[in-house]
Amino acid sequence: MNKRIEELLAEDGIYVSTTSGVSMLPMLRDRRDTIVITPACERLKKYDVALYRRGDDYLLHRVVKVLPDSYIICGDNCITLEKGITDAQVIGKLTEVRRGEKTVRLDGFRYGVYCRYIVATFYPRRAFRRVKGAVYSAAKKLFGRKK
Amino acid sequence: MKIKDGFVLREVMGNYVAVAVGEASKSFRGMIKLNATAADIWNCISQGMDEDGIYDVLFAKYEVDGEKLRADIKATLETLEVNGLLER
Repeated sequence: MNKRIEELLAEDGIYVSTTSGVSMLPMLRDRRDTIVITPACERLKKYDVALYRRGDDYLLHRVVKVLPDSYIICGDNCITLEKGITDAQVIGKLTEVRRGEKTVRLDGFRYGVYCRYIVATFYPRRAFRRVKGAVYSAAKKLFGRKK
Repeated sequence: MKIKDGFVLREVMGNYVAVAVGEASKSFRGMIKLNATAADIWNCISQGMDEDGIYDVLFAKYEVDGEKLRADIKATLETLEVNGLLER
């Protein structure tokens, strides 16, 4: 009964589910928010959230740059850019989000500000995470318990 | 009779869809599309109604042939149960 998402999208023109993982936090909470995916009929635009395949995995991440033949994509809570994602890998795009009973409008002003903030602060966030990781590792080496 | 914990009904673009949230989404991936009548049945179950209660509500709402309605309710409940969305 668990059909592939591609099949459901082809049959119904819509796919509704929840997401798992933390890569799209704070927008999508692990197994709590409902997402609505529709087929990507045309090329994606910057800030769209793409559902695409990487091997056997389905990923739902944001387009941060549109290139002539591919996209650069990144999860809102990720610090690694995924380059070279092609239209052939893209299955659909996020068109609606439900947080509980509340619908998040993806064409709304607040969402627009959120997208731009997330994309604009990618490099500072990445630098901060790396520094934080390095400090944590150093602290662990210095003060960590020895067996 | 109750809807299993972790399943919710959503109305999306004019469609009714049952999806799993939380722990239930670990074992159930995907969605089940429901028509408007099945969505009414779902809402009746959520309110704690039994099969007779559902029949009364839908009969008053749709004014259809009673026997056919009972058969439709039964079939919908079986579908929900077979797909693991309903506990009896």
